Amino acid sequence: MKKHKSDEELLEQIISNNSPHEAFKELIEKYQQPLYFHIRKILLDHDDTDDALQNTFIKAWQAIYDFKHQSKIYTWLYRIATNEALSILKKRNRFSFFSKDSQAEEWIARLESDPYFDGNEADLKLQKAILLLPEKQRIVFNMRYFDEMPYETISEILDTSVGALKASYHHAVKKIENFLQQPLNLDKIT
Amino acid sequence: MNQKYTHKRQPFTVPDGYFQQLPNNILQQINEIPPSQSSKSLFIIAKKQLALAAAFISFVFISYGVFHFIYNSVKPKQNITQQTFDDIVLANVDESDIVYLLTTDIKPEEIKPETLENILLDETLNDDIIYNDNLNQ
Repeated sequence: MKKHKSDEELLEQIISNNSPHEAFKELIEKYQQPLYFHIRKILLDHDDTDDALQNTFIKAWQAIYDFKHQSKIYTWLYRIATNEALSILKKRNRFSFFSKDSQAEEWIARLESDPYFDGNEADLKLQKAILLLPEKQRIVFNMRYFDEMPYETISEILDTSVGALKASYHHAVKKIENFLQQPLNLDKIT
Repeated sequence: MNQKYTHKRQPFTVPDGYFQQLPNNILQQINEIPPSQSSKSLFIIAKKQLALAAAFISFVFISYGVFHFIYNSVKPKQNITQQTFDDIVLANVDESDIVYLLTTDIKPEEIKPETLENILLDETLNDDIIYNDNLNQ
């Protein structure tokens, strides 16, 4: 497996104009998968996810000199990706006149026929329960439950306090468990 | 065959070769764009300063408006009494009268108030204006 340079080395290479494209390509290779699945869990559809992911990296390239070292590149990229996903979600909701429940049903039907969805009936039911959550709770739940991301990192990405995130996650878990009528397997991620 | 994501609970997959091609696809798009230096607009650089300047200008305009509103509502007639004789005459006297007055052979010190009054009291000048309190000042 290819060993990547550190984020700081790659950033330095880009900013000092020392083969910046090569360094940026390495940055893409390093983060494309976690970012893809982060966006995909919000948008569900592969094509929309692909658009949002490409926009994420293009915007990161355009703004890389503005990057403040107050956060890590990783959290900065996650923040751009989340915003991109949310703006696609907003556009999508703007043109929908259906209730949240009907929209969830519609998306579950689309997932069932999606060639890039490999889940079983339980996965589909879980996705429907997640779709019924408010936007913020949905994102927090995905980042915590699927990606097992520490609250401190989620806090940096979403610019929300750890306390508020814990409350959001707790409410999300309760709603999902009520919907599924069974407890979730939370392992060690409560 | 689809590539399956390795996370134990991830039901999502991607088309074959997607992650191999994506970096090159993105690089093709950004090849023509230099990194941020050129994209830094003046607005981005000076956003904070511009916001402060806009807030200051708004404050000055609002203060000016409020001052005038209060001043005018408290002393509605003061502006009128501050009008000068010149302002009233220039606004009401025909230009030809002024030209006549300036080109006539009469020296200024020789003009009696009645003469001046006769010249100015043409059709264009309203008696009320001449005899109002402003002229007595």
